[in-house]
Amino acid sequence: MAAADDVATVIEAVCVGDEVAVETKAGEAVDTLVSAHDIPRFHKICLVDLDPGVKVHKYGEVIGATTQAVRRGEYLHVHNVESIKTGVSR
Amino acid sequence: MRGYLRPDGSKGIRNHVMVLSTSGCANMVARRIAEAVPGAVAVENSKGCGQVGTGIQIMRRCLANLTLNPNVFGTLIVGLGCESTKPYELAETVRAMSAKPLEVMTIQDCGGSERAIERGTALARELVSQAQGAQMVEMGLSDLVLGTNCGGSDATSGLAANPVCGVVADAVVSAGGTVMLGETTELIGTEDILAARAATPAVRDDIYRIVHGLEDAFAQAKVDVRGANPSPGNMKGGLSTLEEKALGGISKGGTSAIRQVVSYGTRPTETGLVIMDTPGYDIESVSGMAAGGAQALIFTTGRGTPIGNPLMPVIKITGNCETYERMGDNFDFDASGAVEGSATIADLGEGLLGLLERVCAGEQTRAERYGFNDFSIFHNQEVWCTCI
Repeated sequence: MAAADDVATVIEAVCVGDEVAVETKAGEAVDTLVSAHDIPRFHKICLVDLDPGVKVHKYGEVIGATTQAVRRGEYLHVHNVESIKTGVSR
Repeated sequence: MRGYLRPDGSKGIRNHVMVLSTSGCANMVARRIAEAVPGAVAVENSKGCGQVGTGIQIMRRCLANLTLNPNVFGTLIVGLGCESTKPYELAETVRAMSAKPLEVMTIQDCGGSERAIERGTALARELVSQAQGAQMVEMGLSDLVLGTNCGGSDATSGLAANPVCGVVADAVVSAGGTVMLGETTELIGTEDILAARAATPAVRDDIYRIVHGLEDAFAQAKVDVRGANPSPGNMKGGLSTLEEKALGGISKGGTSAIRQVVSYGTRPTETGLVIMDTPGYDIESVSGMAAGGAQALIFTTGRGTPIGNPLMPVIKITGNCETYERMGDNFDFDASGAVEGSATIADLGEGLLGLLERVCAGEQTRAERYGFNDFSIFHNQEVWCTCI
């Protein structure tokens, strides 16, 4: 993850209650949290509490906006985040 | 490394005689000719007729430019005879652009498939025999136009395969070569980052023009791009939005300044990193870069794909160790160490650069060994049925 990110990619599949250690790309340990959901390998865990309709950051950039509240430790994917650049809404 | 010297001074890493079909109607004859002549390769056409407007312009431009690809020694144009690409006119256009050997024939003028295959086989054999005399000269990364593409992406693509490809892209650019970044659909959401890297205000404007133009086209057509992008496989692989996919995607072009934006299938006039305006569909995007003069292409994928190209070696890499294990026969390079923590992106980039140099020197990629010649020129403006 990049320093300004709201999410991290899980390198292994995660089960509810698993402790997840968060590292930057350089390998620096920056956070530890407990997963609230089962998360498939290479999918994203939310690192901060996000309100509905707020921007989500990965790579230090905006990847979309939340469609509902997403709490720290929860699974963040297509059910709770969507593209801002849909084309249709522009 | 050494390359085949072409009349325009460019250097090929392969020495193909291209049997170029000007319309889908001539594909089977072109294929039979190429199959009969070792050293000849068929480039089959998914359209070439029934096209209007910018569609036929793109088709003609790409067919002409394909003959200029440095990997092509010479070309046999095989037409049906009545198609809108006009094979004899195309031959005249090509002769005015290049001194490379060129032959042209149509199935209707030959009097049927059998006579066309017989005539085409004789012409292709003669071209192959001439190709054996092609002069070989020293070449370096500065002589290279390297295409890049990502397809079947997953979350590992942006973490490993694309940044590793980006290391190679930076090495080619710093040596004085050219790297192509494409897939405009997958630039959506990254345009500000790319525009900030534009070498000139005109390039910056072009970046916004292609990205916003595409967004407007989607809006006008009332098409939600999310229906296709991210694809179902992208999402299963952990990519949630188009922006997330795009931000991971652009790292395959490296970090250098963007020197030029070219339209689909157009040959860049600048060296360094250039953007080609290509669609997100892999086969059309890769084919456009072949028309633009790329001699080799690095293809990153998370989900895995067998894709190849008739003119360029396509080097396939993945950052997903499971995909590499499951589909190993489709991969040339494993970049998963960057995800698993066993290797750095810089080290993997060095390894991939070494592989690229070996492929330039003649080592065959997996897709070449399979003879996978996927090819399709992007076609738009389809007007011949109502699509109710």
